[in-house]
Amino acid sequence: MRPVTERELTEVWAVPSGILGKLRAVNNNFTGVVFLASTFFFFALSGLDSVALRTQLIAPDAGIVPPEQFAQLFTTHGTAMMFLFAVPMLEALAMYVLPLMLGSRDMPFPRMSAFTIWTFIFGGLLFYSSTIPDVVNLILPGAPWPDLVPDVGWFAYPPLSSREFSPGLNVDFYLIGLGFAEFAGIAAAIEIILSVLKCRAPGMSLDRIPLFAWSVLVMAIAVLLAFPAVIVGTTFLELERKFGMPFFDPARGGDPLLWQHLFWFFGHPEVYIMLIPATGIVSMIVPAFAHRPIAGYAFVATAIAATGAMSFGLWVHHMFTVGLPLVAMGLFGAASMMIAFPSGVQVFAWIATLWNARRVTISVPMLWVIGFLVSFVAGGITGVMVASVPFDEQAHDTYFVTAHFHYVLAGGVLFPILGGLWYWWPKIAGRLLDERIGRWSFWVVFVGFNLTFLPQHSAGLLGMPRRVHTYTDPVLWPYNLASTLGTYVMLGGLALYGWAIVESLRRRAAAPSDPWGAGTLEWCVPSAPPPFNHGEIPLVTSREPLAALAAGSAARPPSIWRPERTREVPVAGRLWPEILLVTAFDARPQSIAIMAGSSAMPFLLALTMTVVSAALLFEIYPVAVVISVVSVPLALMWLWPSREEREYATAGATLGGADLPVFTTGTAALGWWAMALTIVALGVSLALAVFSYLYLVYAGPDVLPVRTPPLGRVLASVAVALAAIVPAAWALRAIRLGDQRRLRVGLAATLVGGAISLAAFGVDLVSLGLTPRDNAYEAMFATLAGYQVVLTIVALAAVAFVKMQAWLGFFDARRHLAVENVALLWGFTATSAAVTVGTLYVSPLLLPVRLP
Amino acid sequence: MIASLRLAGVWFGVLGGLAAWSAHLVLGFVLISLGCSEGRDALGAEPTIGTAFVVLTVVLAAVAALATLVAFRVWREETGWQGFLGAFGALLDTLALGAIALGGMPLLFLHPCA
Repeated sequence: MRPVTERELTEVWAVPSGILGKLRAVNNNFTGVVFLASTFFFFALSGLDSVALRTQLIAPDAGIVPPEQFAQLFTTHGTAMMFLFAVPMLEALAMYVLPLMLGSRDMPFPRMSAFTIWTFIFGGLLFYSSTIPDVVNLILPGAPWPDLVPDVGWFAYPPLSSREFSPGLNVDFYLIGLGFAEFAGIAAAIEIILSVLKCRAPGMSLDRIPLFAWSVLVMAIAVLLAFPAVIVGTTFLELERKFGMPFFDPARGGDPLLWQHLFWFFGHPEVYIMLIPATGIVSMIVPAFAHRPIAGYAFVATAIAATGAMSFGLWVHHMFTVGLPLVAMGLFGAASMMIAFPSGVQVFAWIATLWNARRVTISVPMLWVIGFLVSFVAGGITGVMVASVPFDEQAHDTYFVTAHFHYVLAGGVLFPILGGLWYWWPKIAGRLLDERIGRWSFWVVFVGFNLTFLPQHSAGLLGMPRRVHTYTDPVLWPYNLASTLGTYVMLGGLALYGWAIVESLRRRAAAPSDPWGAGTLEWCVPSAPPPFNHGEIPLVTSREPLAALAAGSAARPPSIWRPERTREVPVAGRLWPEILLVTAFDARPQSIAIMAGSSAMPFLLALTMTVVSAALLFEIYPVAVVISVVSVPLALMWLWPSREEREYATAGATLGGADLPVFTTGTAALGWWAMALTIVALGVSLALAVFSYLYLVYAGPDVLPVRTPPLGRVLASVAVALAAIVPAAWALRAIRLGDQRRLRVGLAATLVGGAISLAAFGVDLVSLGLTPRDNAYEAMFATLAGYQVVLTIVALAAVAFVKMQAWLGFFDARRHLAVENVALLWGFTATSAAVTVGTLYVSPLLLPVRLP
Repeated sequence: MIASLRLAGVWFGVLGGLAAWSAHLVLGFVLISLGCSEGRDALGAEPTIGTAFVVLTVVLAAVAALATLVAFRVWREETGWQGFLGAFGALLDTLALGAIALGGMPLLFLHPCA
C-alpha cells in the first residue's frame, strides 16, 4: 500500500496536449475557462451592438443606422446579452469555481460539461452567423446577400415574428439558435445541481454550503423549470413558421398571448436566474473584504431560495397592458412586490456585514460590489414601481423600463460578474490583476453607466418609446445625448478592464493561494489550481473552513478527510479520475464515482447537432435526417462503457476509501439523479404543452372545433404502456438479486409492451386524419400527440440499448444503474401517455363546453 | 412510521407555504381568467367566482400559516442542518403567507371580474 503521488494525480487528470487534444478535453479547469472566454466573446459582440444603437440616438434623426438595422441591433443586443452572456457566463463561472469551492475534484459529468460548452459555442456562432451577409454587404456594397439578422426583439412576439410579417430566415436564426443554446443551459443546470448536492467535501452540510453555491443551486433549479417554457414556445413558433401550424394566428384559432405566457414564464425567472448568482458572488466578496463572516447566513440562503421560487409567480407582470382581469393581475402584482422582501433581506445582510466589520478593504472586487449595491437598490425600487399596475400602464414600453432593467441587469448582474471575475482571477490565471487599472476601470464604468441609464428614466417618463430608431421631440435630445456619451465612457471603462486582463496574463507575478484572506475552500489550493483541484479532500467543520475570516488573519489549511479504510494504489496499472460523493443534506461520504476520461464525442456530437440545426434552418431536411442518423452511433460510442471501465473494480484508485462503494444505484448514484432531473425538465415541457392546449381550447380568442374521438384504441394503448412498467420493475428487482435471465425477459416484455402501445397510438392518430394547418386545435393536438410519439420512441430506444447491454452481461447485483434509469424513463413515458390521452381525448368529455 | 411522519412534517414545514402560494397564484388566475371570460357556462355568476376566490385564499392562507408553525417548531427544536431547514422553511412560509394575503386583497376593492 502506498499513497498516490501528486504526479500520478496530475497524469490522471491532465488535459490532453495539442489542438486536437484540447477538443477532447473534459477537465473543468480547461472547459470552464473555454466557456468563460466564449461568453465574454459574445459579450463583446453584444456590447458593440449597443454602442451602434446609442450612436444612432445621439441626436434626433441622426441617420447613422437605418431603421431596419436598428431593429436588428436591439434584437441581437438583447438576445446575446441574455442567452449568450449573462446566464452562460454565470454557469461557466459556477463550472469553474464549484469544484474548488466545494472541495471536489471535478464536476459530476465532465463529458456533459464539454458537450454543453461546445453546444453553447456552436449555437452562439449559428445565431451570430446571421450577420455574415450584412458584413459582406458592408464590405461589397450592392452585393445581393439576403438580410438574415433577427429583427423582432429578444422576445420575438407574434404576429410580428410570424411568417406573414417576417418572411425571411431572420426569426428562424433566433428560434433555432436559441433553442439550441437552451438545451446547453439545461444540461449545465443538471450538472450544477448535482455538483452542489452530491459533490461536496465531507462535513459541508446544508448549513455550511458557501452562499455562491446556494445561489447557483437555486439558479440551476430555476433554469431546469423555466427553460422548457422557451423551448416549447420556440418549437410552436418554428412549427408555425415552417409548417403553417397556427398556434399564434387568431384567424385560425391561435392566440399571440399564448406566446407571451410561455415566453414570460421563462423570461421573468430568467432575470432572477441572472441576478441570483450575481448576489451569490456579492455574498462571497463582502465577507472576504470585511474580514468577518456574513451576517444572517440562514436569512441570506433563504432569501436566495425565496427569490428563485417567487420569480415564477411574476410572469404576468410583463402583460399588464394586454387586457387581463384586474384581480388576476393583482395576484401577480402582489408577487412582484413581495419579491422585494428577500432582495431587501440580502441587501441588509451585506450592509450589516460591512457595518460590523472592524476594517473593510476597499479593493477592486469590493468597489464593484459597492457599485452593485447602489445600482441594484435603485433598479429594485423602480422594479417595485412597475409592479404597480397603474404605473406600469403609463411606463410600459418606454425608456423608463429600459432604464429600470439596465439598473438591475447591468448594475445588478454585470457589476458582480466583473467583481467576481477579478476576485477569482488568481484561481483562473494564477496571477493577480493590476489594482490601479482596476480602480480606474470601475470608476469609469460606474460614471458611464449612470450617465447612460439615469437620464433614460426621465426620457421614458417624458414618453420616449423603446425600440424606435429616432425621436423628433427636441426635449428628449439632452437625455439621449447624455445616454450616448455615457455609453462611450462605459465602453472605455470596459476596455480598461480588458487591458488589465491582458496585462495580467503578460506581466503579473504568480498569485499566492489566498490573496484576499478569504475563508472558503477554493483558497486552500494553489493559484492556479492543479488539474485535480483538491489532491486531498478537505473535511469541513465550519462555514469558513480556512478560518481566516473568524481569526482576521492569514488562512490556515483545512482539516483533511481520511477514510476509515484505505484502498491500495497499485504500483503498476491504470489509475482513475475519481470524485467523492456525499449525502445531499449532511454531507456524509457515500460513495466514489469514476469520471469519464477525455473524449472527442462531446465535440463531435455538438458539431453534428449544429449541422442538423443549420439544415433545419435552411430547410435542407434530407441533410438534417442524414446527420441525425450519423450522430446516433456517436452518441452510442459516448454511452458505451469501455472494457477498462467495466473492469474498474479491479483497477486502482486515487481517493482511498475502501469502506465506500464504487458503483452505486438509486438515489446514491449521480446517474440516477441526472435521469430524475431530465425527467423533471421533460415533465415541465409536457405540463406547458398541456397548459397551451387547455389555454387555446378554453381561454383562446375563438371557439375551436374540438374533436371527441373514440376512446377504445387509445385507452388500450395507455393501459398497455402503464402495464409495461410492471416487467420493467420486475427486471430491476431481478438484477438486484443477480438474476440475469429474468432481467432479459423483463426488459424484452417492456420493449414489446411499449411497441404495442406505440403502434396502437400511432394507428389511432393516422385514423383521425389530423389537419394541423387548419386551426390551432388541430395543430396543438398533432404537436402534443407528436411529442408523446417521439418520447415513446426515445424511451424504447433506451430500453433496447440497455437490453443489448443485458445480453452482453454488463449488469450484476452491484452494477445496474442503466436498468434503474430506463425503468424510471419508461415509468415517466407511460405516465406522460396517460396525461396526453387524458388531455386530448378525455378532457373534452369532462370539462364544461365552451359556448360560441 | 413515526420517523416518516416526522420527516413528512419537516418537508411540509419547508415547502408547504410555497406550495400553497403557487396553488393560490395558479388556481386564482385560472379561476378569474376562465370564470370571467365570455362565452362559457363554466362557473356561473360573478358572485360565485368571488366567493370561490375568497374560499381559495382563506384555505391556502391557512395551509401556509400551518406550515409556518410547523417549520418554526422544527427551527426551535432541532440543531445543525435540521434546525437550518426549519429556519429556512419558517421564513419561506411567512413570505408565502404574505403573498397569498396580498394577492387576495384586490377583492376587497374590486369586483371579481373587474
